[in-house]
Amino acid sequence: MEEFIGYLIVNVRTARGAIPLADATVHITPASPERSGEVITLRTNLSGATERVALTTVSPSLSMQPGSTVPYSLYNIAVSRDGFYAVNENNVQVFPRITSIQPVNMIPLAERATEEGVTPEQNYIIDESPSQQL
Amino acid sequence: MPNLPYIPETITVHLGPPNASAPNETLPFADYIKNVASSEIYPTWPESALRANIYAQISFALNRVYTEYYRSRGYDFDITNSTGIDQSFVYGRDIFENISQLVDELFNTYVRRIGNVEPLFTQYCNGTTVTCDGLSQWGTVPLAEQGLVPFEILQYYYGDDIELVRDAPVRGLQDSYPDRILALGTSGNDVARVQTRLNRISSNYPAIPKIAPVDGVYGPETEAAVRQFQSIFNLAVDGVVGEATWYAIQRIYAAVKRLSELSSEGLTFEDVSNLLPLELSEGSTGAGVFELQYFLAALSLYVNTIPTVVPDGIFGPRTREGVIAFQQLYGITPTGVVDTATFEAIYRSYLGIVASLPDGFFDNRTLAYPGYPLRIGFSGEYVTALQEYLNFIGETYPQIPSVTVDGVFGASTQSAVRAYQELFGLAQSGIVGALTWDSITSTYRDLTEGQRTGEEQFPGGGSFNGM
Repeated sequence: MEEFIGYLIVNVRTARGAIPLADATVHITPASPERSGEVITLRTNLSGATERVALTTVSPSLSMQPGSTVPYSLYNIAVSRDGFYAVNENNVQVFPRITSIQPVNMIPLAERATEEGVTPEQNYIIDESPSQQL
Repeated sequence: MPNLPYIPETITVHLGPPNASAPNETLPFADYIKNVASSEIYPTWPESALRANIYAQISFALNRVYTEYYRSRGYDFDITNSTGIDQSFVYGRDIFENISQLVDELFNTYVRRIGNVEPLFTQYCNGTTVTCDGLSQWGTVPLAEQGLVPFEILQYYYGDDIELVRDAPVRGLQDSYPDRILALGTSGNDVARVQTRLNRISSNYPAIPKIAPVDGVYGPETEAAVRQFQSIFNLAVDGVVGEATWYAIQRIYAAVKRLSELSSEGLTFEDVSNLLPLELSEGSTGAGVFELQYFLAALSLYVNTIPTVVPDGIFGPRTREGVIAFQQLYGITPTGVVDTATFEAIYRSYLGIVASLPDGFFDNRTLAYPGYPLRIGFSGEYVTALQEYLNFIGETYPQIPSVTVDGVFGASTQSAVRAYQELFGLAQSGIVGALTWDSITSTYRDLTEGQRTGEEQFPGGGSFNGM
């Protein structure tokens, strides 16, 4: 069966892009457990970027006319870095022969965040599912 | 309504239907369009179809901004992501590289009806489950495959009497695109400006090599820095500063500067306290409010959905919005009132931000504008500082003559001020009012900050093998 390949780069930054985060840990997994695929683990470089990774996806013919099959594959990305709240980016779309660039904005841990108190972690799960079908 | 359409520096998107309670995200206009295009169409489509769709998305958004469609109805945003009435925008989503590069090229071009001024309200729909009097997204694919160029595709759907307005003015820039491509062999003040900005960005992004000296000559060092910048920010890597790269440099520079303003304005770390005198709410005034606003302003630099607040000591509607946005994010009942628990949470978040910044971040300070214009005949510490700043800037921009640092504003200081004003596009009055003071201190901070080599690592763990 022919395999189609798309690509993904993850850019991890803070201060809404003003500061890159090196040495962040990035885990990439298929969004649905039925799809086979190991966890890919990457670390970001000095500019906060991972390498460009190749990921399996679906046929390009699916996106060239309307149809009921979604023309992309979905992946989940989990990002962590010392001193920052973890971020989950879920349902990241990957198209064949196209590079997806996933920006991740991390927020510094509040002082004493690990003690009991209010933390915004529950809000750093970002679901990128679209609200409409093309 | 403003006179002529412009490209706004940022656009505020409501993440829900207009009357729904939902966060707003404010982001650069080009980044908004990249998200819309990645959400509305498929990146595998032929390029002609992608361009036509992107033109329609840009014009649609600019129409909302230019007609102040939502603002004039009392809403605090420019557009929503409700697909029935506006465009799809998925918070935090991935952007497709080819679409990103197309938008970088096209973001300041829009469609208008010949004879009209406003951007065309380019309605569109998918063309399958929904049909409309406008562009059919699926319809653009076969048209592109038949060989139609983007403009022909737009005419097919919107009529022959349309035109594309290219190079619309872009708001929020200190200077506009120099109308020429900067590449190996070019030289001039525009090159010096690019070099200064790249050096400032490289203090945050150390993989970009420093350019020294900043001499206004586009040599191999400058080309290397440009290539590295382009690679990091997902532009086409060609080592040449055309429009797309120029505007990208401005956007990143603006983000870097906004963060550094935290240190140069407002409160030093020692000034703030965690003592809340009493509950703060809309109508409160005073030092406690100013401090609250300063913390919110800092948080808004880190969190996409907390709006910017200007610290003025008066708790008005914007401050209340900021408090509510913070409370929603942190799971606190969004009352808009700052009680002890809310203040605690805001203060601890602010401390977390400060802890994540490198040592020396708060050292790069210049004097704030004294509140009155400096001119011939004046003397004192502000004149001394002004002379020091001008001399330092003059080391990079030789058109600015050096002056004796004696604290006395005489003819030679006035000449230096005029030279600076001419170079940086300000009125050449020879008088240092607020605008000139802010420009001089900003340029000074850029140059001092830009010369810092990238040895500092942002704390919070992790190491990098010293380069």
